Amino acid sequence: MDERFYLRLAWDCIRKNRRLYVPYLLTVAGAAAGFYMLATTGDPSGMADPGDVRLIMRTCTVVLGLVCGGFLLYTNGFLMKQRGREFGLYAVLGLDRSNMTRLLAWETAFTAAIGVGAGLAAGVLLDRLLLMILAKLSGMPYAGPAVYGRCLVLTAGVFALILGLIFAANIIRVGRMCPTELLISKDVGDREPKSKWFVTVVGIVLLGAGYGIAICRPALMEGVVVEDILWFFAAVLLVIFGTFALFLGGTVTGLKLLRRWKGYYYKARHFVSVSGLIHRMGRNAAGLAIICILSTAVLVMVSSTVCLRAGLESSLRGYFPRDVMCQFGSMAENDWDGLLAGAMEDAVAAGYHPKDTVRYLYWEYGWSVDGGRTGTDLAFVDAAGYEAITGRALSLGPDEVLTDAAEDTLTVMDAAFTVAGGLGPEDPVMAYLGRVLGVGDMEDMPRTLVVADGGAILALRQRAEEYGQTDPDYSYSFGTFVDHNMDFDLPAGEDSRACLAVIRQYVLDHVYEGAFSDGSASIGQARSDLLVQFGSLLFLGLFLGTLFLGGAALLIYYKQVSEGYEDRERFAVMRQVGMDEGLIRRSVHSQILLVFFLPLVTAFCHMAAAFPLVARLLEVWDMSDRGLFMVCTLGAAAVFAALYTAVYLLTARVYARLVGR
Amino acid sequence: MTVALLEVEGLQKTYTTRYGGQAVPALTGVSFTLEEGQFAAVMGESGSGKTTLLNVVAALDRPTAGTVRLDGRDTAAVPERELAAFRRENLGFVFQEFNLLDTFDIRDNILLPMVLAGRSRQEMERTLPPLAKKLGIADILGKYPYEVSGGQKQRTAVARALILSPRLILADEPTGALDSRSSDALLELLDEVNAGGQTVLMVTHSVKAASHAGRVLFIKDGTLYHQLFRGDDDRGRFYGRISDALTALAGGRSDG
Repeated sequence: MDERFYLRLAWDCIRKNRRLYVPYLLTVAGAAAGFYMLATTGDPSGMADPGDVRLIMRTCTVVLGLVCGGFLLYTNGFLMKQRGREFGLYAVLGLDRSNMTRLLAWETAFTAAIGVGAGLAAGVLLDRLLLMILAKLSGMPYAGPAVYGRCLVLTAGVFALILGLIFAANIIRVGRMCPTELLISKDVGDREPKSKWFVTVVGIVLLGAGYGIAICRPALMEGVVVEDILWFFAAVLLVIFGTFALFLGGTVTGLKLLRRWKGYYYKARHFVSVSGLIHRMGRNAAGLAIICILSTAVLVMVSSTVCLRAGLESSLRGYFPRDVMCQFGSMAENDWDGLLAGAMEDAVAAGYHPKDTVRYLYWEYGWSVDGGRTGTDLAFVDAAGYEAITGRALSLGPDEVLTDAAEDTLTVMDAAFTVAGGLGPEDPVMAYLGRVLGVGDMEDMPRTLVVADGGAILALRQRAEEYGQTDPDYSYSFGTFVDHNMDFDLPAGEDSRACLAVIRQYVLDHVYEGAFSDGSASIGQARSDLLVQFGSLLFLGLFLGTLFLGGAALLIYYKQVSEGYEDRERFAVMRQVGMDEGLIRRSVHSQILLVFFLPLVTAFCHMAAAFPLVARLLEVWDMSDRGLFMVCTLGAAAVFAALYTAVYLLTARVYARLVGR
Repeated sequence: MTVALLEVEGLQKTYTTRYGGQAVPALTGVSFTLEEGQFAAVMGESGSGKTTLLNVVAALDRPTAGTVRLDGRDTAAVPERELAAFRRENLGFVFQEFNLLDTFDIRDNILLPMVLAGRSRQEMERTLPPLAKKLGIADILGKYPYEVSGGQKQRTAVARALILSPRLILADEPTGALDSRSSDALLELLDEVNAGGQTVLMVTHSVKAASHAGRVLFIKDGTLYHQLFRGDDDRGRFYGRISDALTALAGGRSDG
């Protein structure tokens, strides 16, 4: 037969099934557009960004490709199931396998041309907007070409592969069925699903294990290490498979138990609902599980990334007791008082207004003897610094210290000190140093001694050097430099980054001994560094969240269509056997409602179980504000529930139209 | 004198097409009465209005003019919200396509009207076994409609129609989807049911099916055109008379 015949037939098939095909083509287009746009965010010719953000973007692109493949394979399967009768008719009319293959090939070609073509066009058009949103959220400057050739090719390639796989799956599907089966294949779905005790038990076990990890693991975690990330993914996989198993097995098994309870089942309302639900759940289990998992993914991604972004300022403040934290250390005895004072004058001359300035010396020193078996770690702060930080007056003699020791005297490297006062973990100095050092738990702080002045610190350091020369077992771990710190705030609106640059320049120009360390930091720089990370993550969360929500919405639409088609016939029968309209509508609507809101409720359960573990993982980014995360989680859940309901109500109109008289 | 169970008087039904609003008459004036215990068949060509008649009698459709009285009660006067219950209590349906629900097994399909009527479990357990036994479906009660044969499905439908012992059984081409053996068996069954005092009104195309009835109404172009009573004829003779009447009916049309 003429190739043009197949072309026309394929086109007719798509047109006639437009109620099914239009959403499918939109999905292909949406997936292609999303994939292309996400690919451009990780493209090397695109926006300049730190390597780790690009790596995250690229990883997510790969994941999105896999999700798109699986999702399209599933929706296509749904589409083909609805068209079973049509293919049966073709087979009866005499189209053999090779004819059918050619028909399917043309359909795939149309799908690719229209879907991927439209997707790429939309992707190119929207990409600029999307990258601008990324730039806005992350603070990265917008840059890059208007069209990313490499990403276009990559997207086309990936989707050609996906559609090729779908094509192969369809040939196998059509080839395996005989025509009469195809003709009745719509009815096959009506078979009563069997109870699956094994699958149910497996589902409960998997889900329990996943929940167990998510809930119990955080208590075992000390810090967050790679292993914890692996545990997280293990929990995610367990929950995904558990959800599938429970939806596939558990719902039907549970409903069948209800049916065995005769006193409950043989009541007018339950009778129709329970038997209807058994069939509905049997047919829809996989789709509902996918909706549930997509929903959970959206909820977790959005809540955690929004939380990170919302908590940026407060976690930043945790590290920055002052806006500008100058920290210079040197071996030789530079006149740091003079240098810093001069630098400050330059800063003022440049138009900055430093305030709440804190000057202090800090020397952290660690050594070990016996080949490292015995180690000591001590930190020293000068009395003037103590006064500046705490605002309390303190006068110490040359052999007096403040520390947390219980004894009255203390010997450090053979130098004897009298303990003049306590220095507990709650002392403002300790709190201040804890923030600067980024130590969350005060137990991890080195033992800290406040000594009379810089002279006392330098004398101790001299002694340490001598020790190192005389004792071969003795080794430094750190403590080469004594740090000269000068921290200050700036009024709102003054650029801490630029101000620090002025100070650095002055120090660089005026220091007369070359070897010095610079551990200075400005809150402005740290903010923009974190913003690149958190903003990019927020972008990813929102972008993928939107895509996944779109996917879930599409599945809901498909489900409504298929439910509508089947309920249309059932409605007619029920009316004829004497069910009143009100009862039919009430019971069917409550079934539909349950079917669609079960995934949402399950997603909320998953989210609640994931909460402790995700909260711990957020500590990787120094986000430890549980209250904030709770607010973000509840907020995301509320917004998602509203969107989900809106999608449900919109698609329910399709259903109503199908079953309406 | 026997009681008239069903009285149909001057029944008219006009449909309005959805597009264009054209009025299409389906029934243009049908009157007849059906007495308690009668088995009547309605015959006519496709489009003659027989299914419309059945739908109006069943109160599934409202008449344009005329009345349908069941047991003396005007069905048009039954309020909408009571209609389903009215239908359930007074009418049993048997359809060509069986109209069983796939989501229920045979047992639950039969029990559906009882459950809807809010009857007790004890009553269900008392009523179902003898009925199922009588209809020869006692051993397939646990199966699903797609697991049993067409004849068994139709027996199930008959059981469902009978379970609440309604006043009138309405059958719409009950043998239309059955092979001849199943058809015969079903018709015998209807005979038996009727012999037990059950009133039956059956719409059919099949002369054979109609020959089981005690009375045949012929409908043509929306009106009652002719009717035959079986009287003392055996089935074979009655079959011949029905056949002749149908030929005349068809001839009448070709004349016109």
